[in-house]
Amino acid sequence: MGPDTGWRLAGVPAEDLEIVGFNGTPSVECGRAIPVARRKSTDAYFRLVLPPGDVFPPTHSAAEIDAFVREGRLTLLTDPLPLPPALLATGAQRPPPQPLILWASRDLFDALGGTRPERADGQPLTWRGVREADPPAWASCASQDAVVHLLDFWGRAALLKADGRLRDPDDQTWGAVRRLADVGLCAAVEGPLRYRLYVRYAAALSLSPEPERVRRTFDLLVHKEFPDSTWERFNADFVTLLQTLGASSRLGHTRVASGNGDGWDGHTTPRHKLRGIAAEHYSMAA
Amino acid sequence: MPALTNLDARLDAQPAWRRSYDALLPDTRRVAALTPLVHVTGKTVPFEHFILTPPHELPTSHFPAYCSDLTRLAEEALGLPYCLYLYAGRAHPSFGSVALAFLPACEPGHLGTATPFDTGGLIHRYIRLALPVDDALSRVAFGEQSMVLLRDWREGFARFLAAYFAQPADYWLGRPNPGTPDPEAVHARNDDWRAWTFEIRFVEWQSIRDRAAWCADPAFMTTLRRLIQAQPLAAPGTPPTPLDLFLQGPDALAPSGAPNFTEVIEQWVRTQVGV
Repeated sequence: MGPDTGWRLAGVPAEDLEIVGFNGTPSVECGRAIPVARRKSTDAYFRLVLPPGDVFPPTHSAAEIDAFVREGRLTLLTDPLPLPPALLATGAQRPPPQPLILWASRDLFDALGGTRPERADGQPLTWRGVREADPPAWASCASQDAVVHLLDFWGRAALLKADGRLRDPDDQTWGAVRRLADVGLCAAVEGPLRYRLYVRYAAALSLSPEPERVRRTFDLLVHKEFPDSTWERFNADFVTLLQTLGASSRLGHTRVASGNGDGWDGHTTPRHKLRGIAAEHYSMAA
Repeated sequence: MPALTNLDARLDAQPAWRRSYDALLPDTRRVAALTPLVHVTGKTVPFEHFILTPPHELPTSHFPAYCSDLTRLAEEALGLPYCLYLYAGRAHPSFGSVALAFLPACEPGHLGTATPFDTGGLIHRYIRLALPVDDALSRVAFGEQSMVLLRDWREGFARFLAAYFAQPADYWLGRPNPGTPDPEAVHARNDDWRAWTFEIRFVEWQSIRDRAAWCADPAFMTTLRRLIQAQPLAAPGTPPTPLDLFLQGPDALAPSGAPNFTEVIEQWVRTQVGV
């Protein structure tokens, strides 16, 4: 056990605790979850929800944790993480911030570019692999505010890339814009940012072979998340976005139905066209 | 002695306990009558399966993948049929990523039983007890003696709250009153609220479309959003899809999801019961 840094969970020093996993499983590109921690001296495991009083959370044995992993109740990391520095730095004057696990898969970084950041909201991040993740995924633990900060950072990065694709005169793929907005919505927490990502999503759909989906997106998703929103305003927002970025005429002329028949891949590059033709030819030959 | 066994006689033997019980009982009866049942799902079978696949019902433990063998072992030990497990007003995140709440009106169509603790925890010893002989048979006997029929559970719940809690809100936000009798130390020896939460067991499946409220984590809401977006466009007059029918029900309490979805649904429950 290392030196005592001062912070204690119901009397247990931070040096006796480590993060070993998180609640649930990483089923999408990125997300946040309640950490699962281990008390090293007793090999007892618990969900790291900071209790309102000075009571240690209910614990489980290693055998129980193994069973929970098999049942998909929780996910383990390849190696333990230390408690986040923001938690350890908490003084007696203010309540400690609730730590959360932040996970991100390779699909997120493939979509956005970049890699795992070393800091979020000023807090250093330590990353560990997520066991048995497919595609590969990594997790870190930080205060709830820092986790949300980083998720919104990724949401904003997706938004900027989507706008870049819409603005690029050589870019002819509405599907890529839709994908970026979709990944951004997977990450983003902040309401205004999520609304702007929905606007990008709608902009991409409006240029797709099925522009009717825009209204459905508004009715089933946007309006439920933003009850004060109106169809007129949302419609005006994505039309204005397309006009401002000069994308409406350019992308509208280049859309084609997809090669797989469902009209949903949205790719219009020559390579994808060839792939669609080849697939069609192959299926006919078969 | 199980919490509700000979309760009136034990209350009469302790006048102070009786007075506090009598004072609380009208309010706990009101709370018990309103308390929704909560089920957390999505652990081993993704919740979208139940949205998309008939009969769109939460299954009993007879559905092989839904519950672990430990659940079926506990049922066998206690002589229970295959059951669907719900908690009275509480949600535990260990069981998945989606929490659904059902109003009392869902009960008349069901048969079942209830206990003032988690039976799996009892049989598999996650709940610590001070029994004279703490072996498997003693735990089974304690579990059997603690059972009430589904049709009686709300009155039992009202009596349990009045007898063992300083105020109804402590069932959600605190723990049993340490000053109340607890011969087997069910309340004193445990910190996990599943040691003092009413477990309700239906022997039939329960439709997800009858939910009164629901909440999920952000990852599930992303999955649901993608299901909505991937659904083929339909012409007017086309019958609604299972997904459409699910979406016609109550909206999620947190439309973009919440990592603390169980706390969100418990907050909704407390609003319903007024504590």
